[in-house]
Formats: sequence, C-alpha cells, structure tokens
Amino acid sequence: MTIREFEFRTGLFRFFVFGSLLCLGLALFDVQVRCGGEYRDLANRNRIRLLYLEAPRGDIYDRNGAVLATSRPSFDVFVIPEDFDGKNAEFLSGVLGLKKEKILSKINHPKDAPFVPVLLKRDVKKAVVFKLEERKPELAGVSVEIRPIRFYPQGTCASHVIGYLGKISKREYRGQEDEGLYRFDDWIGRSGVEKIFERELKGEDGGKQIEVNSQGRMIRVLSERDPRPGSDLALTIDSKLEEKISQIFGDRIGSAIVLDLETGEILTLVSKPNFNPNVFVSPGEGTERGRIFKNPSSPLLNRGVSTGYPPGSVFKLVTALSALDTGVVPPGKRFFCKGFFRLNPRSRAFQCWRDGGHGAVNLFEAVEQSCNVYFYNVGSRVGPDTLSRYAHELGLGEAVELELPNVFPGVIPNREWKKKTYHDAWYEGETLNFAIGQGYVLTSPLQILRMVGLIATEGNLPEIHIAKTGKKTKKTRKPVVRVESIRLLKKAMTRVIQTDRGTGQLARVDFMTMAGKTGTAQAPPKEPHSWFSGFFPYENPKYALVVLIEHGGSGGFYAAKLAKEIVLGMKETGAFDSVPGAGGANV
Amino acid sequence: MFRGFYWPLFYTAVIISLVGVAAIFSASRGLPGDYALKQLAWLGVSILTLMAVVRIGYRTLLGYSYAFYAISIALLLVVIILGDMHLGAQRWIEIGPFALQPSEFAKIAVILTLAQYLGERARNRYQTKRFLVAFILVSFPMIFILKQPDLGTTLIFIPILFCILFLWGVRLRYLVVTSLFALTSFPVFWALLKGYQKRRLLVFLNPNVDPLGAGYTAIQSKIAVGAGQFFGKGFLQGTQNRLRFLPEHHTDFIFCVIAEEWGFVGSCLILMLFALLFIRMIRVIERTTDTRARLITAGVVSMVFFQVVINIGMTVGLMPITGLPLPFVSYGGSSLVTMFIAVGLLISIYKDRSIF
Repeated sequence: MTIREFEFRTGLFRFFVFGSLLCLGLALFDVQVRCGGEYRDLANRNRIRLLYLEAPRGDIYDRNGAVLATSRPSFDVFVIPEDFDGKNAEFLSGVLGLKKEKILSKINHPKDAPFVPVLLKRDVKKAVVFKLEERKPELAGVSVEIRPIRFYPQGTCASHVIGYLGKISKREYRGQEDEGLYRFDDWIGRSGVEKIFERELKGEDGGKQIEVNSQGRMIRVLSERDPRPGSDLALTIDSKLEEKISQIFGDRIGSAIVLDLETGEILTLVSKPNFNPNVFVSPGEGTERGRIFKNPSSPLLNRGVSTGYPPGSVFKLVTALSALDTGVVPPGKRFFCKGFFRLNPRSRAFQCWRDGGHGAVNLFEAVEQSCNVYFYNVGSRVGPDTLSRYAHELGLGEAVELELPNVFPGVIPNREWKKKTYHDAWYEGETLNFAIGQGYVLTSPLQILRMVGLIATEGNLPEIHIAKTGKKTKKTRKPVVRVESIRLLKKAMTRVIQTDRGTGQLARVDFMTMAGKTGTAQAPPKEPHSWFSGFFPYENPKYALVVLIEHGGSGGFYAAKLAKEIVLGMKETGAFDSVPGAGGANV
Repeated sequence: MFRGFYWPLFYTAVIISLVGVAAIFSASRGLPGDYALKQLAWLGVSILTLMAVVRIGYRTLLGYSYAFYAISIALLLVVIILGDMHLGAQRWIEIGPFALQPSEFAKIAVILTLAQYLGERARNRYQTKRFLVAFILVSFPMIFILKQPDLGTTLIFIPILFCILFLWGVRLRYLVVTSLFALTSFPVFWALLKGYQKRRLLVFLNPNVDPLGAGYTAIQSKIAVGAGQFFGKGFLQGTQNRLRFLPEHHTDFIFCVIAEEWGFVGSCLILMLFALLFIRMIRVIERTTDTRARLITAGVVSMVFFQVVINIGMTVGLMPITGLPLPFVSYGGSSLVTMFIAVGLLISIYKDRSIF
C-alpha cells in the first residue's frame, strides 16, 4: 500500500469515527434537550404501566372431544404499589380476609419495582369483586383482573394421564429468564401430559405497555402484543370408559389399562388411588394438597406406567416362548410335577403353587394351570441369558415410548447384569425364580400389556400412544421370534380362560373367547400382587387388558374376576358393538 | 520503562474509568455489594496489567499471539461446557470470588492474531487466501460466543475484522463482496438466533414485539436519558435508576445513569473524553511504520469505538439492545482489564515507535 493510500484510508477511518461520535451527540441533543421535557415528565410521574396478557393454556380433550382440562375465569385482586394509598389497607384486609400486615408487606416488597402490579389474592368470590367495584373511586391502584385458572371438569378422571400443574420453581424460572416464557409466579406442568406437552399447551404470553394519567387511568397504549394461546391436545383416552373402569376398580390399589390393538391407542389408564388435579391450582386447597403429598399410598404415582412389580406367573409367557422358539423343549414334552422341584437331590425344594402337584404336564397344560415345576424345568434348560433375551424381545426391560413422564424401564436380569449390580455370580436357583417371574424381575403393568399386545397381534403391534399428536404412527419393534411359536403360545393362553382347569377361568365371558394369563407375584411379608393380562376376542384380537392389584392376593381369583367386570363394563359402554367375534357384528 | 510513555492516552483512559466508578456508585446505591469499590479495585488491577503489557512490549506479545488465540478458544469452550451444566446462559468462569469473562479476552487475542497473521504477509500476493484465513480466524470465537449466548460481543468481531483488513490494505471490492455475502446469509444467521434474541432485535424496529421485555427496557432507557435534560438532575439524584426501571443499570445501561444525572452536558463530556481517547489512539497509527503495530491499533480503536457507539446508541434508541458494556465505564473486571490491556498495547507501540 502506498503511503498515500494508507493516509487516505486512515483519513477515512478517522472521518468515520468522529462523524459517528458527532451523530451520537446530535441524537443525545434530540433526546435530552429537544424532547427532554417530555421524558422528564414521563419519568417524574412514572406514568408507564405494564399489563400482562396471559395466554390461555390449551385444553385437553378425550378421544371423543369430552373436556378433561380447560381454563375457567378467576377473579384476581392486584395492587399497584405506586398508586396505592396505605389507609385503604384496613378495608382490603376486611374484604379479602387477609391480615393487614400481610397486605402491606406484599405491597412494600423491596425487590420489585413500584409500578408492577402485585397479586394480593387469587380466585376471589364474585361478592368480593362487587364490594371492591363499589369503592373503586377511593381504591386507587387496586384492580380486579380476570385471569384464567386451570380447571379439570371431570375431577379425578384420568388424573395420572392428565397430570397436574405447579408453581414454577426459582431454578426453573432462572433457567429460562432470557427467553422470558414464564413469569416468576407462573404455572408449569408437573406430571402427565400437562408436563410432556408443556410447551405446546402453554402458548406465549402477551403484554401491553400503557401510559396512565396521575389517577392511574390509561391514556394511551404505547405498545401491545397479543398472547398466542396454547394448542389444544386430544388424548386417546375414552373418559366414559375410564370413569367406568375407575368405579369398577373401586378402592383397590393398583392399575388397569385397556389398549386398542388395531391403533395402539390406550383407551383407559386407571391408577389407584388417584387424585383431583384441581386441588393443585385452587387457592385454599392447601390442606388437601398436603394430604395428597403425605398419603403413604402415594396417589400421585402412576402405578400403570411409572413403577414396577414382580410379574409372577405372567412372566411364564416369556419362559414358554423361549421353550417354543429355541426348540429346547418341544411343546409336547411332559414334565412330572409332584408339587416341588429340586435342582439336585441335596438342593432345597422349589415349590409349585399346588401342593399335590399337577402330574405330567406339557406346555399347554402348564400354561393353562400355571405349573411352576414345568417352568422350573424349562428355565433350568434354557438358562437365564436366553430368558432375558426373550423378555427383551417382548419389550420387558425396555421403557415404553409413551407421551408420559417417568416411564419405568423395568428390570430384566441376566448373568452380566447380576455381576454389574451385585458383583456376584448368578446362581442356578435364581434361574428358577426368574423362570416364574420372581426374584429380580420388575415390570410395569404397561410393559405386561405391551407384551400381551405383541403376542396377540403376532408381533404387529402399532406404537402405543396416549395422545393424538397427528404424527404418523409407527410400529412397536417386532420381536425376532418365529410366528408359529407365538401362535402356539396364543393357543395356550386361551386355555387359561376357556377351560375349567384354567387359572383365569373367572375372567370368562359368554359372548366371546378370551386369552390371557394370571399372575400371583409373591411380595412377602404382605399379600402377593394380583395380576391378570389378556386379549380378546381370541380369533380377531381387538383389545388387550392388564389388571394389577397391589397386594391383592391370588391373581386367578381377584385380578381375573376384576378383569371380567371390566370386560363387561366395556361391553356396556359399547366397546364391542362393531367387533367381530364378540357378539357384535355378524361375521 | 517510562521513557517515551504515552501519558496523555493513559490519563484519558484513567479519567474515563474514574467517571465510570462515580456512575457505578450512583447506579448501585441500594444494591447489595460495593460495586464502586470493587470497580476501583479492578481499576488498580487494570493499571498494573497495563504496566505489565508495556513492560513486556507488544512485539513479544505478538510472538505468542497464536497461543493466546488457542487459550481463549479453550476458555470459551469451558464456558459452554459450564453453561450446559448450569441452566441457561453462562458467560463467566467463576474462580473463587471472581467471574472471568473469556469473551472479553478473546477480543484481544483475535486482534493480536489478525495483526500477526496479516502484518507478516504482504498484501499484494495471495490476497484471497489471506482474506479467507482472517475470516476463519475470527469465525471460531464468534461461533462459541454466540452459543453462550452473547449476541453483542459476537457481533463486535465483525467491525474489528473489517477495520483491520481495511487498514491492512485489502482491496475494497473484497469488503464490498463480503458485505453483500453477509446480507444474503442473514436469513441463516437469523435462524440460528433464539426467540428472545430475535425479539430484542425486532423491538428496535417495532416496539410492539415485546412490550414487557426489551420494548420496555428500550423506552425506559430513553426516558432516563431524556429526563436528564440539559443540566441533569445532579449526581445521585437520578430516579429512573433508583426505581429499578432498568435492568443492568450498572453494567450495560450505565450511560443512562450518567445522562440522567449529568444531563446533556455530562453526556457530551463523556463523548468528548472518548473523542480525545480516539484522537490519541489514532495518533499511534501514524507514529509507527510496523504494519503489525498499525493493525493492532486499528483493531483496538475499532473495538472501543464500536462498543461506545453501540452502547450509547442503544440507550437513545439508535441501536438495538444487544448487551454490550460501555468501555472503561460499565461495571465489570474482565471488560476493564481488557480495555487496559488494549491501551497498554498502544502505549507499548508508541514507545517503540520507529521514526527515522
């Protein structure tokens, strides 16, 4: 670069720098001198107010459009500290039923700017609103705002699916402060679809910047942005059926889930005890909230999805499949059950549930009568790693990808797992326990339901859903198993219910053929967990059902009986009206 | 050490910083923590750092420029990793009671690296290659700082690069072509921004976009500046700040405090102090024949200058709110030390001047 060009460039640079500074000076002259008076005036009177325009949260519907969650108007009393006259505190205290000191301390909160409205009380009665409106001329700075409050018109119905809202925590608030989606006293989904679909349901708040006169009345709107309402959400739940099954389930503790095998949609998901999500948003329900949190049966826990139980004899479906599919034990082979089983003459006796034994049983009879000794024999022949592999093929030990939070992944042990978890070798006796669904195995009712669904559809189960998101539904991963093995297993499962020696015969109904498996999972020192899971109609599977009663006793007795009541309840609500093979349509 | 020391530049920087301390004192009344005192301590640290830089000399420092570059990239990565561990934005590395802001030091590292790279290479050969390498050198820190996310600091690298290239003697058509390219790639850049960052930029054009957030800050800062009128409300008499209308009034919006309390007179005084600073800085360019030294000076002047213009411009509504500190004035140790390192480099160049 020549000296000349360099000088030219530095000259240009200098011109740019000082020219810009001059422009800044002119801008400052404009703001401070020319318009200074106007701004001084605005500053002195603190004449700018902010109003939040809250976006209404999206509604939640059931599959038929019945409202499960919506918003109702709530009358909220606000005070703008800057405009408020302290001598009105007495009056407010009387009307709102708040202590005078509390009102004053809220108003004089030092952290916030004095022009930001402070919420005094949420959801006041209409009568209170009238009283405040009457005295409005004297009550400068006090205003009643109608804001939406979450409302669940069906109360406890599907409470674990819907979830509930809670106040945003300080940590969560800070984490999103830059984005500014939430205010510091905002609500956020804490469980269920309210949590999973928080972003969509929430929408985006708007706001208004207004200039007020010295009486605090609006003169003009300076700027405004409309709120963007949250999107609505439709669930696959049928709220009528949900309510019906919830009633049938009664005060028992546990879960019942019904799955539509053709669509993969969950029609009902009952978890008991349940809760009323309204108590989490209504002011004045603090004691009820406390009761829910302290209840030892944890009503907030979704027992169908978020926790695991030993599956007991229901797991024998896995053991049976491993026998059939590996061919290690042909289906016709009989083992003799004398009521117990020994690994070798000196080992301890592993009991069958039937004291006298089942005699010589083949696979079909063993599934039908849930003979432990048969499955001890199978288990000890295929080994724990094969059992584990087939359990995973049927989706056990794998979390269900469902639109709900805290989906329990389950526990399916094998040799390596034991080594990693307990730093110990696998004992052969543990294989026997594993084969009958005891020991380390844990499954959620939803996982058992998916397993039975996979068997019912011979591996062609659509992906399980609880919300209608409009996305294209995929398939659940197909098990790598021969179809013939599954077909034989299905045949065995129908004997469980349809023969007079079947352990699940109490679930039998007269209008269609069902298939299933019972389970009585030992949980000492309390009563065993009672399981039933099945699908129906047998010929053309349309639904799958799982019932779990926590410490409910014998699965064949209590869970199967409850399953029958549920199936009859489904019939009453018309679930079988157009289902071939279930007395509905003519085939 | 003090032979040929450029005292006028040094004094100007110190005087602006002291004005800053006074403004911080006024702005932080009622806030916990002695911000003014801390800033004064930082000023001490900054002056010592400046002396060290002058002592070492810019030539030695240039020798390490690539190492500085690597270190600042590493620190920026640490910030991102820490940010992932905490919730949300993270611009600092906390070391005991201090919060180090690597993006500030990255600016110096980039200026040194560019000066070293371009200064050692003649402009009349392989210009396209030189140009591209310079571009790439700047883009890495920019990407990491944008990720923090700190939009203001990210954008300040662009004028620094342009000014250095300009005074290196890049063909003007390169700058024109790059500007056009930047304009056409704007949609891509826009897509990278987060919702609230877009809102802040959009508010500048249309206050209705975010009336409660950035739009509110914009109008309140203008009110604060305007309320100062000609003579100001007097030291410690500002109300906009006391009432907490403005967020960050001791950092990014410190100019509002000065403008409200000292009025147009005070604002002009600050502008004139900065003008004096720039006059003295630009004089350094003319005193040296070392291309690298010229490029350092160009980088430093453009860094300080654009931050001043963007910061003050933002308080009066001429620029969007992007969150850049006012050099020497805003509260913050990393920023102050960085500015004094920059001044130290110029003083070292001045001392070393090679006039024959």
